[in-house]
Amino acid sequence: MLIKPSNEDLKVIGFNIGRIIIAFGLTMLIPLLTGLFLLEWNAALDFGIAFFICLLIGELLIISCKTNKELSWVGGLVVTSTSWLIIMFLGAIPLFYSGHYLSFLDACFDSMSGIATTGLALIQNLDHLSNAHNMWRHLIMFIGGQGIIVIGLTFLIRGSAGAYRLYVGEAREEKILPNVIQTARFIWSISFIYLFIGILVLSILFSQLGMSIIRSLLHSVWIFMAAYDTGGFAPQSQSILYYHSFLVELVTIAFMILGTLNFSLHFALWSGRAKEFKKNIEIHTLIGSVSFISILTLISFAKFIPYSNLVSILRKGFYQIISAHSGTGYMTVYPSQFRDWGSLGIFALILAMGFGGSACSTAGGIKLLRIALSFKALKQNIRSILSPGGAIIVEKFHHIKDVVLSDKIIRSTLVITLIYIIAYFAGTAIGIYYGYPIESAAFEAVSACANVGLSIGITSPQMPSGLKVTYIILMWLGRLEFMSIFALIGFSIALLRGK
Amino acid sequence: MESTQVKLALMLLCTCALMLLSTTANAAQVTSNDLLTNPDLYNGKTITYEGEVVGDIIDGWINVKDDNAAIGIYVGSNKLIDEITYLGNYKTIGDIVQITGKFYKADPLHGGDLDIRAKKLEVVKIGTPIKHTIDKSKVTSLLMLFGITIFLYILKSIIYKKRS
Repeated sequence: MLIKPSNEDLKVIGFNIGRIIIAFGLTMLIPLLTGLFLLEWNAALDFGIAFFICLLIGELLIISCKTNKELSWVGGLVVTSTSWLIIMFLGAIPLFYSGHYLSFLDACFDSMSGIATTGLALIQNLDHLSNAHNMWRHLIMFIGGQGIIVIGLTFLIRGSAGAYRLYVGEAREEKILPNVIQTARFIWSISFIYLFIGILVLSILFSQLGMSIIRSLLHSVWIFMAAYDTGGFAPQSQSILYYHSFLVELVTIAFMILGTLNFSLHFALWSGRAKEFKKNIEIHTLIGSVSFISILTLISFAKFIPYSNLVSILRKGFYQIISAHSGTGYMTVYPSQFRDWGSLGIFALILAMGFGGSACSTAGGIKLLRIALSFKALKQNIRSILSPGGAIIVEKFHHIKDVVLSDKIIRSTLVITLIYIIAYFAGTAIGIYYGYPIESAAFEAVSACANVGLSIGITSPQMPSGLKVTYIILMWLGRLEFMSIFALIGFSIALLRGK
Repeated sequence: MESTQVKLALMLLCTCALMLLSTTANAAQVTSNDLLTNPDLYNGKTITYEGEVVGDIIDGWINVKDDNAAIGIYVGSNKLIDEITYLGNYKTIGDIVQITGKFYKADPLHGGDLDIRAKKLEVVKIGTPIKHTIDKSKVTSLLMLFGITIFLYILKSIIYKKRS
């Protein structure tokens, strides 16, 4: 029997959503100040309007839903999934006001793409967008990458069991530090340290290339945010190709890899436990997977010869592989050029995007840990078949500590992996329904669901609205790893049909 | 007989030379859409491409955008860049330039970039600053929202006082 949620259950959800909306609204002050500083008055007005709308909605929810009740598990998941949807709409307001979108749906698409760190974009005439709006596009990637809930936990939500439930809802299960608030603060501290280093390195590089100081500084902030948060938005329409610089490509590769690593690994590194890198199962899987995908791509390149020398293969082939695998989506080729890679090359990129980066990182996709554990489970099964009856086969893996591969871990791993694969197939099927070839439909669907952002050319303002909505849903599902959205669906059914 | 053959050969030579000259002088006028959808057709050929210079001048490179997409143009360190006055961005419409140069779908000298190596750059139209007038409806909306928010905060403090 379905139990209908009580008024108090609804209140506690509304109250927490209100606080998250206010935290999100406060972040709009950054592009607002950017607009004021750079004399972009209309852009500053867009963010002023959106900021007050956030304050109003947030405060109305807090006042009307004021409660001292603690969040339940389901409540935490519902708050997370609902907040992300509401924030997509609120984040789209200033984007839509910029006048660079065909419709509000397109602005919502880019807003979800930003917060989910995907990087697919429907913006038009990007090369003439204001600096304030560009700041917002990249900032929402930084916010979404670290986690909207993580912001709330860091600044507005006090420590409680409910805080952990919110944190888990945002597809983060690992507590790096014993307390979830400390964990959230660690995630932000480390991100700001890297941000500082990133700005320093990139701004020097850009000014060396001949860009003005202000533009070097702005581009360094934006490119770092989108690379480290494995987002993929860029301030110019040609993505990283705009800079025509091998050095910029090398530096962004380093930041993409940094962003795709588990925050626990960053913590190990910062705690002086560098040896963890040698032993960690996710690092082994990343190296193995990148090697395998590179071999597939090279086989395809050997047949189709899209590039004539090693440097070109590295700057185009390897760059796109790292961009795909880390879930970033930065491009040094035009979408139509993927045709020259051959079907095997495209398949390799789809695999890289589908696998994704580390768990508890800013990357999307199935995640390296799950891929590794799936293979471990397969190995365990084969070993048990080959062993005499009654023999107990124990499989272990190292991820921060030595862990025995239990049935519970295998089940949860395979369930999420299976759901990802179903989502990839469903997205592909919808793309085919709208008339796109299977290869392109699969590429774009996996890119959206794994929050990558590489495009083979389907994503454009002219694509059917149904497909835009499909990709928005895929980005939302992929970023939150399904469970909190399933909880929202279950909660909604209980609300309507429960007794 | 011999002189006729010589004349014929000379005429043939002149025709060939004229044809060659006309192909370079009238290099195919293309759009970014042509280059991106049919790169093999133009690969290694001299083409003419027109569009707005956007962004920055980056180490011998400019990016020129037409209605569809921006294409990287390698200008090198020559004086062609000096012709450019305005670069397109939020506050400026960049110069409209006509580029004649060799197109590469994967330039081996530039790490496989799809680009044009410019031989000639001509500013067709000088860019202009864009005047962004303040949108009064946005100002009104902002003031209204500000007022409502202040009212809400006053209401909140009254409600909380009553509750306590």
